[in-house]
Amino acid sequence: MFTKVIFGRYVPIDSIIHRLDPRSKLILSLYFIVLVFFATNWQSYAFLGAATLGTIILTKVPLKFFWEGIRPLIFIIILTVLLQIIFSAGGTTYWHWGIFSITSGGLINGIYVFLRFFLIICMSTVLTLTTTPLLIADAVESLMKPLLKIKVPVYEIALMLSIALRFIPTLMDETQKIMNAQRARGVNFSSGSLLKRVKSIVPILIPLFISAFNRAEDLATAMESRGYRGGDNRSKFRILKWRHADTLACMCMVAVTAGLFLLKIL
Amino acid sequence: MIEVKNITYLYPGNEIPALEDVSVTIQDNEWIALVGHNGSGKSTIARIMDGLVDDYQGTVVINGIELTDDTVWDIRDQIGFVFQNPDNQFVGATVQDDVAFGLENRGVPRPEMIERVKNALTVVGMSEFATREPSSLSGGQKQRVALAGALALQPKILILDEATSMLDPQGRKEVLDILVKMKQKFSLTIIMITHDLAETAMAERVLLMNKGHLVVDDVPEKLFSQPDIIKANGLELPYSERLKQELIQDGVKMPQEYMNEDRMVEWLWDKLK
Repeated sequence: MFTKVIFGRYVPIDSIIHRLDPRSKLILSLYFIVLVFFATNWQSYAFLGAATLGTIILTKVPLKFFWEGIRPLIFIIILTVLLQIIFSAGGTTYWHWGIFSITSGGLINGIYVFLRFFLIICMSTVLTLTTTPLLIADAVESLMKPLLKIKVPVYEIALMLSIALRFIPTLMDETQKIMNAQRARGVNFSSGSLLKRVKSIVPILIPLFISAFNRAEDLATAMESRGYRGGDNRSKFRILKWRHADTLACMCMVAVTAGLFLLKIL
Repeated sequence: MIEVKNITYLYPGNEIPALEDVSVTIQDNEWIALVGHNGSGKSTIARIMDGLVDDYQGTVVINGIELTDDTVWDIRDQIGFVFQNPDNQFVGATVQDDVAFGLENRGVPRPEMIERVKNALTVVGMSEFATREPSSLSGGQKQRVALAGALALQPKILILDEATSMLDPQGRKEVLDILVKMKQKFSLTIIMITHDLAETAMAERVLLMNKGHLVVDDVPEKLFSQPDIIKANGLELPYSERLKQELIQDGVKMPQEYMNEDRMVEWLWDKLK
């Protein structure tokens, strides 16, 4: 039940996209999401689709991983698409009942919404599949640096993020252990009414909570004994390197943007 | 040199002090075993030496510097501390990040940091695991990483607070072997807290604590030859000593001095010949 976590679905393959600086990947994927909303006609969607497909091929990650990224969201996608089809008006009306109608405009809108979802999920999956959570945390820290000027505790936030990521698998293991221990004592997690099932979560949550406090205490002592005194005056072991490939990737994105707006004008 | 003078400490909310008027002096390059049953105050005294416990009475002087709020960070620079739980003291996201954590805190420049991390990992035999994440390591491996993290700081004193108690016999042996190597190579002062009297046989001096008092301060061989004191303080004799006791009960004449397992085998072999 814990294998489907969004973070940590990283697929370790050596590809051009894997080797990109996480900062460029993060910025470009966010930028692409914004860009998708500027697409308004078939040509522009086809163009962005081709760009996405190209990126996916460059990652060398098997397509089934992308499918796994989309699968949990399929229900939301279908619902939104259906709502779009039924409620939007415009163009020829094919079917009509009360406030519901299916029109050609609605159908086109529905397909656009579907494409938008699809492109956005694919691009963000590219990011999570090709970048370790640790590197994403590094990228976030690096990109937040300007916020130091307005007294945002960037180093502390980055440390929190990195410790949280490091403890996710540890706490998952612990949850599993507590669940098994409670099962061995007769707690039933998988049957009974909804209320009963919710109640049966309590014997997992409370021990987990207490142990998290103990861990925090131990970790704080260990950090202090190793000389941690806050984020200032620290040097860094891991540094990010901006390479030519990153500049190239940014230039590709500029080309995609130019292409998109050209297609809109034509 | 570590000088601890007249330390008394009461945990907030407790009535009986965890430590009562404890004084001890530890020389450079000494291997100390600090033993005692649960709640005897051995962890507390080690934490006080590293400045991790506040509001105690008495003084701590480490290599000529008295421990105060102003000097606590200088003193921590000289002490490497390895704790009991391998999972909870692993700060970094990967092995090399964890070893580098203490160096980052001290603002060590990156090229030097890379070199020191590499060396420390080689000493503990974890070089090939440098980029691994903690969840993919065994308990013994994590504890070796913790040792490497302490070692990378080039401390003069290494305190191990039951660092082997959550490990299996194999992992425990690995960690202890590394300690022997490290002590020779870096002329460390080692303070090892343990329940296990067999581990104390490796030390040069044993401090036995009970109910916040220092009861025995002697070489391990002397302590082992006094089974009554060991039993009275809630500890268990090492294996070779237990064998000796049983043999004496069966009427075998045994020498007084302490024998480790090898010596015991030798002695028995001689006898049987």
